[in-house]
Amino acid sequence: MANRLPLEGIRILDMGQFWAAPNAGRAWADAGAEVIKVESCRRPDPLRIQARKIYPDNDPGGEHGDHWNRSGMVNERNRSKLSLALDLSHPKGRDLFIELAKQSDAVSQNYSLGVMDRLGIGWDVLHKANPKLVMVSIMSQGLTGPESSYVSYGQNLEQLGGISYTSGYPDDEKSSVGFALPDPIGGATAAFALIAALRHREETGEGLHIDLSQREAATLIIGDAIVEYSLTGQVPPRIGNHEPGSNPSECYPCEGEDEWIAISISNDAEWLRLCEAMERVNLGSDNRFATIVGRMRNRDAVDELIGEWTARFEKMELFKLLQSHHITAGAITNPRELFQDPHLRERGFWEQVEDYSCGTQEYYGRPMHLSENPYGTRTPTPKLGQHNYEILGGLLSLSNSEIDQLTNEGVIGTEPILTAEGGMARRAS
Amino acid sequence: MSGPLDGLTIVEGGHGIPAAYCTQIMGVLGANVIKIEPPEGDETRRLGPFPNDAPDRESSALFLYLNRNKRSVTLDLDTPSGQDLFRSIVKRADAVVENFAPGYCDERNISYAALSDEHDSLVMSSITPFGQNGPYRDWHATEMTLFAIGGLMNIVGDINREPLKFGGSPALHVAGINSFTATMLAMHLAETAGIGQHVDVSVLEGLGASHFQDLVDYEYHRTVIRRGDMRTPIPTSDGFISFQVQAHVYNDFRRLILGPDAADDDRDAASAIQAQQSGEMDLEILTWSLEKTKLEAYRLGQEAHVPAAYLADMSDIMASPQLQAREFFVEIEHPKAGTLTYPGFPAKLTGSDCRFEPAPLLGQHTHEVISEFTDLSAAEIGELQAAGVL
Repeated sequence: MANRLPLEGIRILDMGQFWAAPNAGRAWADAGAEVIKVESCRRPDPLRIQARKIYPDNDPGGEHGDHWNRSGMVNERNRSKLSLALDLSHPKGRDLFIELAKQSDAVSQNYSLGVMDRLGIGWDVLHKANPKLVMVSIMSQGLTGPESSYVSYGQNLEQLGGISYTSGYPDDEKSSVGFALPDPIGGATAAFALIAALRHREETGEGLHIDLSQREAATLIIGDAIVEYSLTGQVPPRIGNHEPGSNPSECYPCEGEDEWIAISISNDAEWLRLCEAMERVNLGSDNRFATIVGRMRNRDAVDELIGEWTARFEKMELFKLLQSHHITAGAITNPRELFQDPHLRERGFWEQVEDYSCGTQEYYGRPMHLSENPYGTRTPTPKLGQHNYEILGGLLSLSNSEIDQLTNEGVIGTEPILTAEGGMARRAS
Repeated sequence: MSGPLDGLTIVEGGHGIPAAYCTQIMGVLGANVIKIEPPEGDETRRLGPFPNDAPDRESSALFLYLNRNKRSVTLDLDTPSGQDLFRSIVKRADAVVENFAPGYCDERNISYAALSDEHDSLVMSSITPFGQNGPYRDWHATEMTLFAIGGLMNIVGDINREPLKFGGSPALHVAGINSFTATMLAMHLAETAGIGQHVDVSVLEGLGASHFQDLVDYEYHRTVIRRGDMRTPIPTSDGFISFQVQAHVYNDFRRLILGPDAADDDRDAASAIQAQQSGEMDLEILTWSLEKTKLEAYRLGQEAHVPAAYLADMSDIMASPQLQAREFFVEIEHPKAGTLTYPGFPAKLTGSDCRFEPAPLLGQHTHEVISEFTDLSAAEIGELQAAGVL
C-alpha cells in the first residue's frame, strides 16, 4: 500500500511570503497537503527578486535567464508546493481566487493589515464563499490593537517580544542579538495552529479564522520569564551563556580563529569527569572548584583554566573527547561543518533536491519523523507560475484558450513585472 | 464554545521543557492532559526564583507556566507496579508525548513497541536532543550545546567576542511546537485510518531547520557566514530602539530623522543604506532619538512606515498597550502560588475558546485519574500509595 500522507486530500492556498509564512506552507505541503503558492507577476514573493539575493555560484543568470527561479531564499522554503502566479489586483484574478477558495480547505496569508480586504478577498468574503474554509492570518502583531498596522521583520519582533533583552552579554546592556528567531517560531506556530483548526472544523463543520500575532508567539517562547516577573516583580538579569543550574557554562576558545566549544557542567560529578578529561585530577579536590558554590564564586578562574586547556584542541576532536567522558559539550558549528555532521548525515536530515533552475541542491529536512507514514520534500520549489494551466484547467475547468487569454491580459504569467524600486512589498515576514 | 482538541487524551512523561510545553499548548486548545511525574516531581519544580526566596515545589515560575491545564499523577516508573499503571492509563489515551532519555522507556517496558501492543492506533511522540538513532543519540546536551551544534551560535553574538546563546530555552520550546504538529498529524491518521505510530522529534534538527540564510549561502556558493559586529541599538531618553531600513523605505527614514522637507537621496538605495549603516547619519539619528522615549520613537518610526522596534524587557512587555488591547495576558489563580499573570495564546480562533487552568499540585490527581483509567478499587489504590508507587 502506498504511503498515506497525513494531510492528503487537504488543499491550501498559500499567499505567504518571506520566511515565516512560506515555512508554514512547506510544513503542510511536505505532510501531503496540496499547497498552492499564490503569487503574482506584479508582486512575487519578495525573496525571489529583492532582499538577500542568493544564487547558485553567485550567478543570477542560469540556463534560461530566470533569476527569480534561482533564489536560494525561496527555493529553500517553498518545496512540495505548486505555483500559481495570479494578479489579485485584477478583477478577474480576484474572482478566480475566490473560485479556488471555494474548492480549498484553507488560506494562509501574511500581508500587512488590510491588504486582503483591499484586494476584495478578506475573511468576510472568503467565509461567505466557503463557510468551511479555515484561514490563518500570520500577522506581525495580530489583526487588532493600536499597533496592528505596524510593519516588522523578525529582528523587530525579537526586540518587541523580549527575546533580545534576555539574550545579550551580561556586561553590556546595549548588546542586542540580531537574528530573527520570531520567524521560524511564527512559522512553526502557524503550522500547528492551522492543523489544530482543521480538526476543529472536522468536529464542528464550521470554518474559522486564526488571527496570529508573531510578536505574541515570540513572547510565548520565553513565557516563564513573564510568570517570573509576575511572581517576583524583578526584571531578571541577563545571563549570557550561563545556563541555570550549570557551573561552569560558557563558550571556550579552541585552536584556530573564531573556533569555540560550549561546555555546560551540571553537577560536581560532571566537574570531576571534566578534571579527568583535562588530566588535572588534582583540581577535583581543589576546594575553590569542587563544589557548585566554589565554581560560582571563582567563575573567572574556572573559565580561564578551562579556556587555556580547550585552546590547545581542534574543536571537533574536543567535542568527541568530552562526550566520550560523558561531559555536556558542543562545538560551535558553521554551515560547512553542519552539512558534514555525521549524526545529521546518518539521520538523513538533509534532503537532496533536483531544483528546476538550480541543479542539485541540499536543504534542511524535517525535524520530526513518523515511523509508519514518513514525509518530507516531495517536489522542488516550483517556478513562478509553473502550474497556472494545471490549476486553472484542473480545478476551475478553464480551457487552454481561456487560460491563454488570461495570460495575454496579464492576469497570470510566469515572469515578474519589475516595477521601480519602492513599488514592491511594504511588508515583512 | 469548545476547543479544537476537545476529546483528545494525552499522556505526558519526562522532565523539563519540550514535552511539557507541547502538551501545555494542547491543554490550552482543549486536550485532556495527564502529566506523569515521579514521586519527587518534575525537575522543573525545583527551579527558582521562588516567592520570598523560599523553595517550594508548587511555585516554580517555569513549572507553573509549562503545566497549565494538566492533571498530575505521580508514578514510580522504576517499579513494575508503576509501569503497569502507566500502560493502563496509556491504553485509554490517544497519544503519549514524552522526553525521557533514549532507551529509558525500553528498559521499563513502556516503549512504543510495548505500549502499541495493547493499543493499535496509539501515537507516541518522543522528543530527544538528537533523535532516536544516529551516533550522537546518547550524548549529553543542554539548550546551549544544542544551539552550538545546530549552527545558530555561530551567527549570534559579536564577532569580537564569544558566541552567544539566546536567553531562555527557545530550542527546547521549538521542539515542543514541532512535536505538537507531528503528534497532531499522526493522531489525524489514527482517527481517520486507525494507524498508530512512533514520532521521533529531534531538538537539534529543529534548530537545523531554523536558519535564515547561512545554509543556502554555503550550499549555493560556498560562503561561510559568521557573526558580525553586533549592531548597537539606538539610545533614547529611556531605553533603546532600532530600525530595519530597507531600500523601499529609505527616503521615508531620511524624512523621519531629517524632517519632512528633506529631499530624496539621489544615490542608489543600496549604497545609501550602506552609508547610513556605516554611520553617515549617526549624529542626526542621535539628536532625534535622545529627545524621545523609546515608545515615542517606535511609534514615530512606524507611522513613517519604517519597521521600528524597542528593546523590550519584561516590564515593557507587560505594559504594552498592544498586548493589553489584545488581552494577551491572563490571570490564573493557583492554590499555592497565588494569582499570577501569564502569557495567553498567540492566536485568536473564531468560534473557539482557549482554556487556562492552573498547573496541578504534585500528585493532585493521582487518585482521580487511576480510578478513572483503571479498574482498581479504592483499597488497592491505597495499597499502592502506601507502597510508594503512587
